[in-house]
Amino acid sequence: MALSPVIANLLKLTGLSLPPQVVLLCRILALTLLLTNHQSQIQTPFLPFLDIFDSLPPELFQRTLQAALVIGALGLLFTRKTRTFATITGLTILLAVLSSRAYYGNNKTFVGLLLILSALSSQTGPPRLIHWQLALVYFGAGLNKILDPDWQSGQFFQHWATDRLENPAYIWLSAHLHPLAAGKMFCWTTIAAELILAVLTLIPRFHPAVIWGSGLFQSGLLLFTGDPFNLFFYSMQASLFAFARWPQPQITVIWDGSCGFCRVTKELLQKVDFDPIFNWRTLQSGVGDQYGLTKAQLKHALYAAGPGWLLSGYSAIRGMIVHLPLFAMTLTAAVALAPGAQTRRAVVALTVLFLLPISNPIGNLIYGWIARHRHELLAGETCDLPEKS
Amino acid sequence: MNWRLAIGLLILASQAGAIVRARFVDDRYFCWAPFDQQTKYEIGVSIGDEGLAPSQVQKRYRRPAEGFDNRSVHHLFDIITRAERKFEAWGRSRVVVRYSVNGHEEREWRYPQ
Repeated sequence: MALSPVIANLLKLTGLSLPPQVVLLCRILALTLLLTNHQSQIQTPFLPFLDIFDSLPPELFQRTLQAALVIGALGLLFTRKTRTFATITGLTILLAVLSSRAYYGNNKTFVGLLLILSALSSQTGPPRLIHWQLALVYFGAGLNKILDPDWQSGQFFQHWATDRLENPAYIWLSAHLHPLAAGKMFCWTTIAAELILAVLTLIPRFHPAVIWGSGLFQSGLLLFTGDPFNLFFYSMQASLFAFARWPQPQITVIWDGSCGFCRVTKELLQKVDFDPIFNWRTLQSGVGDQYGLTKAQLKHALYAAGPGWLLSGYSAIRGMIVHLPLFAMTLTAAVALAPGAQTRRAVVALTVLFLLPISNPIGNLIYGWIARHRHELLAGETCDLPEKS
Repeated sequence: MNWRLAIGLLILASQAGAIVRARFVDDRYFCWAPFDQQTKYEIGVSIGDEGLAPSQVQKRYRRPAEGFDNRSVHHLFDIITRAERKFEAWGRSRVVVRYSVNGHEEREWRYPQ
């Protein structure tokens, strides 16, 4: 059964007026805004940064911004007018920020700017404006910390982790070291990470390092605190899509055409791959020759080949899943809807483990079992395709 | 240079300006200094002879009468100063903020100073 056009619009990223990875960035932000009920945080003007907001009817202004935010986010998710709705949503958030010192926050400002800069990005080429935006955020954050005496001495972290968060791991570590040694270590690691990331964002060949470095840094912060800091965690992670390369040409997936279970899995993935990202080729088609793979190798495991990479088995499955927009959207929803800090931590921890090579042993074990039993998993689904020479 | 890129660069340049500005002022608006300070605070307000209840303080400043703030403490002082100038033009309000930054000893800030 075909999925509805509404869902297709949500998950299809190509053929729009912005690069696919920027479309995904915008949609992740839109999803976050809706799932966290962010419109309820928008206020009437209060001690605005620009006096003009004081002359507007407060209730009408608030309701208009709330409506614009919801309409903008829904438009980003379910229509193909990404540039238009990114502008509407981004401007709405920036107006809300400028109109109230009580609403003001770095996380909201960042989301507004990300959406506006996305809308200003060109259809082709890398989204440099977003790269420079992240560089500014990391540079500003690192600079402010390195000049703060409490960050230099470790006092900030010592107080925060001990008195505020009461983090047991930090308290244990701190107790085994010289006074403030743990605080100093965490403070300087944070400063170094932020300033290094500020530089790496500006150098394209280090962009894979930015994705891993910033992604793990922000995930570590959430694991430590359990708190996404309003929109901060989501927006920092979403901004990393601007550093990813869209697979061009498609990812070639080499699968066993004689296996019913493989066919069902393929059909399932094809249902949510609207762009499509994957080019499915049976091992019997002889496509493996292009990659120097023998039939025996291809019968042993599924292979996925993207620009400059070739993966097999569990690693191939993981490489395919992370390229699906549904993966990022599901994770965003899971973190945003998590009932508490512990669930949120668990979601992020499991995701990080899944993405890191540390999960390879267990992943390979599960994959190996399924691969060995694939012809038995769906009875009556097995047939051999004619082999090409 | 196309107009989209020009607007984008203008937005980024204004943020770079805010980062430089932050080196010369106490507040940290728009300069990307999130979560750089932990301030424990308690706000006491009196208008003439009458003290305000915590709920009234919350309504006045749109933040709890006591709690924690994770940005520069000067944002709190800025909000109080601006709110008092705006809402209490007769100068009858007296505000005392007891606060501690990053676990240091408690200090006091008063309005009017």
